[in-house]
Amino acid sequence: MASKALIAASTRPLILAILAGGEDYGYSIIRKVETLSKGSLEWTDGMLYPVLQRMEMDGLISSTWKLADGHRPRRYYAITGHGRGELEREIASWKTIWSALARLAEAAPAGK
Amino acid sequence: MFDLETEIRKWKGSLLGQEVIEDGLLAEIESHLRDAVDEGRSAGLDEASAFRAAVDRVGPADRIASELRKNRRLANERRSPFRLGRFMPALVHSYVKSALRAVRRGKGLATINVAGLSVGLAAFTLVLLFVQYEFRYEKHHVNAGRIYRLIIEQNLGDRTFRVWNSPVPLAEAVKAGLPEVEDFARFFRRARITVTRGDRNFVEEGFNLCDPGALRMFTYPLLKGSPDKALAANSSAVVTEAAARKYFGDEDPIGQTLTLDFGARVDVTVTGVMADHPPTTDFAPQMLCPLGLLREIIPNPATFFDDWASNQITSYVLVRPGQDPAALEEKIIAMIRPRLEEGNRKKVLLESLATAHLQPLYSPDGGVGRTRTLAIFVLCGVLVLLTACINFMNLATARSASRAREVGLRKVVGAGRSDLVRQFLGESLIYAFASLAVAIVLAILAIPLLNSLTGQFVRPADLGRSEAVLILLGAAIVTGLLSGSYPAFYLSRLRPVGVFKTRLGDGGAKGAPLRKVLVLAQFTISIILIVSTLIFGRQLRYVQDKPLGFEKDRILVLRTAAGPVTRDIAPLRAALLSDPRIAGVCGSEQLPSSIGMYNDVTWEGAGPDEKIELMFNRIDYDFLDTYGIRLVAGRNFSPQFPGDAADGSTPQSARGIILNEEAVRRMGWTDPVGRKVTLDYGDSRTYLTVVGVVGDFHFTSLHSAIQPMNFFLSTRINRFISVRIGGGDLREAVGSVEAAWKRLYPNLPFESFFLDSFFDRYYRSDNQQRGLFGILSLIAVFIACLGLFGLAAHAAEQRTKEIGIRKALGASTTGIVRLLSWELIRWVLVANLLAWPVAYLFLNGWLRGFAYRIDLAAQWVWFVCAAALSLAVAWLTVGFQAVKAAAAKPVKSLRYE
Repeated sequence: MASKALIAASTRPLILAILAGGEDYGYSIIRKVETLSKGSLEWTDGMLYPVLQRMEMDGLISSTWKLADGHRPRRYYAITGHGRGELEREIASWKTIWSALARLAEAAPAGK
Repeated sequence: MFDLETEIRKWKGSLLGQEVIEDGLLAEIESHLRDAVDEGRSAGLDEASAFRAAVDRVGPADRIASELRKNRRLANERRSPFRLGRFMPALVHSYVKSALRAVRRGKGLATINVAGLSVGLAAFTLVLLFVQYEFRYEKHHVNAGRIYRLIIEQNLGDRTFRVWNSPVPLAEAVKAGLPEVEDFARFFRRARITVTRGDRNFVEEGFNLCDPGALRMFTYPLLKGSPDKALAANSSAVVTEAAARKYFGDEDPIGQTLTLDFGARVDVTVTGVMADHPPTTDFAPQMLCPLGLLREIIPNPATFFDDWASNQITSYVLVRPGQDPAALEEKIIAMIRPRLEEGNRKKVLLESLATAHLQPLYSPDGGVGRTRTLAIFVLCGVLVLLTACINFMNLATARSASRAREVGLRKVVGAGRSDLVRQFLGESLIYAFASLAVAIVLAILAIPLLNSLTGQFVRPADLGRSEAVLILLGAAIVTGLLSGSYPAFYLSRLRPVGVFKTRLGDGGAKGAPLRKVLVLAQFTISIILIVSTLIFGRQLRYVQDKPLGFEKDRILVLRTAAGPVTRDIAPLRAALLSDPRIAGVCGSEQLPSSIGMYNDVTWEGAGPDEKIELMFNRIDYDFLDTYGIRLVAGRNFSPQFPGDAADGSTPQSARGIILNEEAVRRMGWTDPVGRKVTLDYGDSRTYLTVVGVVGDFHFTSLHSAIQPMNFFLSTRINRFISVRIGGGDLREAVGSVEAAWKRLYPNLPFESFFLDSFFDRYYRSDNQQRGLFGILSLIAVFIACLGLFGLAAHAAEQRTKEIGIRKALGASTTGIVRLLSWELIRWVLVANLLAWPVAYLFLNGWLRGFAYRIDLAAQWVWFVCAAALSLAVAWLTVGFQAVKAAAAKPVKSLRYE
């Protein structure tokens, strides 16, 4: 189970990474996060929407309403050029942090 | 029983309580919920459990809402403030309508506004035309910017002086030696030669011998003949159209022969006709012959063509583009230095043809360039325009009451201040452009007056020149913005609450002090102009009436170009004096009003190397009597004293001279008669002895002080014959003189003029200035009075009720007139106090340009005059309104509204 702070920090890069694979809607994004993290990342579904709104305000993503499955209207989100740039920067930072952490963990195996 | 749709509606209701969750988002979350329910159902849950699980997953509405509120705050911070579009075309119609209504409601004021602005702009337009004309001088020469005249600057004793003639070989050498110089042209001007065609004689004023380069460098378009060949042969001549008409009438001039007499007689053939010169030139040759012609005429051409010592010819050079004239001057000086004697500090200056008219390096009467005059007029034009703008501001703010409610209403329905500023500026711009149209018509009507005042040849078409169009449009825009600025900013500041609550019957009382300051400014400007005009007039009257020391009236001057009369006037004198109307006849080399030649002399009792310049004139025995020049010591020249005409080569054969008092003063003598003066010219020395002294007389304009001068006796150099006409009709006397001349010299042209007209040319530019000043000050006063009239009318209207009450309570009509007029008149008084010192300083500077001038402080009466005039005019304007208001019956004025 990830910490609250880590969840908060990782939300935006995760959403960007999912949208980088193609446009998607809120419910589907949540499911994908759950599946990919094997249940270790659990978001309160409703809280996704303020985040999406904020990201749209920041110009990272854009949205359009579509009729999916022929009957239910859904708002689809797509990553923007600006969003892709942001994603690259995020991935780079995460990698840096990860590699630093990994080296430290090798040097002093914790807990055992 | 569980109904999914009912439950979902209830759940939506709880979300709707949060206003921050907008419809779109609500729909999105609902669709999310439905997906979650579907998923629960497919996992095998019943509808109710699936719904509860889904609601759990979505989470509490208030937490979502609080996150959304954070976003909204952020969005609010980032958003730029809300603005309407800068220009709303839909409102233009309303703007035009309200402007027209304002005009209709105040027709009188609108007329005053347009009249004032039109007259102001017309004055400005005339000044523009005047200045533009001066700037157009020589610009018709395509190469004007690259043509330079070679001016020689020399030092003589402690004095530096410049001449516009230079050594004959100079220009040619400059062209050969300096690659920067593309071409050269020299002009050898012979004033007043006699031209004979068949049996008719003419006098040609504009005869010049020149290099063929003249036709290439200068823009002298040839109507007939080719520029390359016209001056190729030595005996060819190019004449202007006007000259061709003069000599040949309607005949084809090409191939015709003319006989010229300028010392020697020579036949030339006309090979080209050039277009007449435009009036905007200071150098307008009428007949051009090749300089090479001189080689055939003068006995030893080398003494002329290779003479580096004397300055005999006017030289122009055409410089290649992009050269620095200062650097070129240095190179030319370095080039000529080896040819000069040791210690000669002669310099060569380049005078640009393009600027020669306004900023001459050499000016024959030593006068200042015209730049200062032009600057004064531009300043006056702008000031007059400014008074017109002030009118506009005053009247517009005075009338603000009637516009205030409109402003209030516009503000209430959402107009910002900037919208109102734009609206009012737009209105004043429309006024300005309407006035410009009227002004142009006025200016075109006034062009003949301008021309007669300035001696210019301005045409209405000159207004169409691009620079004039641009300046006028610019002036209209500046005028519109300037005159609209105060009303616009003042009116747009009004607060709707204030406008609707109070009646604002005081007509924008807040603007009142400023209005008074503006009236003050207008009248200050007007009074300065009035005083200047009056004092100009006094000074010019003083100068033109000042006793000159000789009689310039009733003297007819005959110019002699050639013939026996120049060497002996005895036959003519005898013939003329037989007519009782002729009081005297004399011959001289120069006129007393234009003595310009001088010698450097030393005198008995002078210190070593002490020299003065002594102007001189050669006269005959009758000169002093004819001109009424007074002898203060010694005697006049007389045939009884042969020494008067001696050659002065030895001290024993000293030649007699008559000095003026100034010369005696400079030489420091108390008993001048019989004293010795010596004159060195080159290697030869002339011995002179003083036989008489004449009282000082003015021989140039009164701009300059009287210089020391002397007379020599000569009866054989009679370039001018002066005839004093006694009593009787002048025209008849002139006829009799002409008849006598024709009888004696049937082949010589008769040319005469009155000396006073000749003298007047010294003051031509002063008279022009006075005339223009007079007009400008009239206009300024007119505009200021228009404004005052409007203000008085407004004030009277505003105070209708007050006047009614005052009258009802027993105030007299005179008392009310005094009350109303005093309000504005006192500002005119203050304006006088402000204007006097400014006018005094300005006039003092102007008077310093005259060696002989009136004492400004003694002219205080004219200052008072200007004050009285301004007060009288102001009182008449205001008084009319005041009387009208005061005479109205109180019943009517109290019922007003």
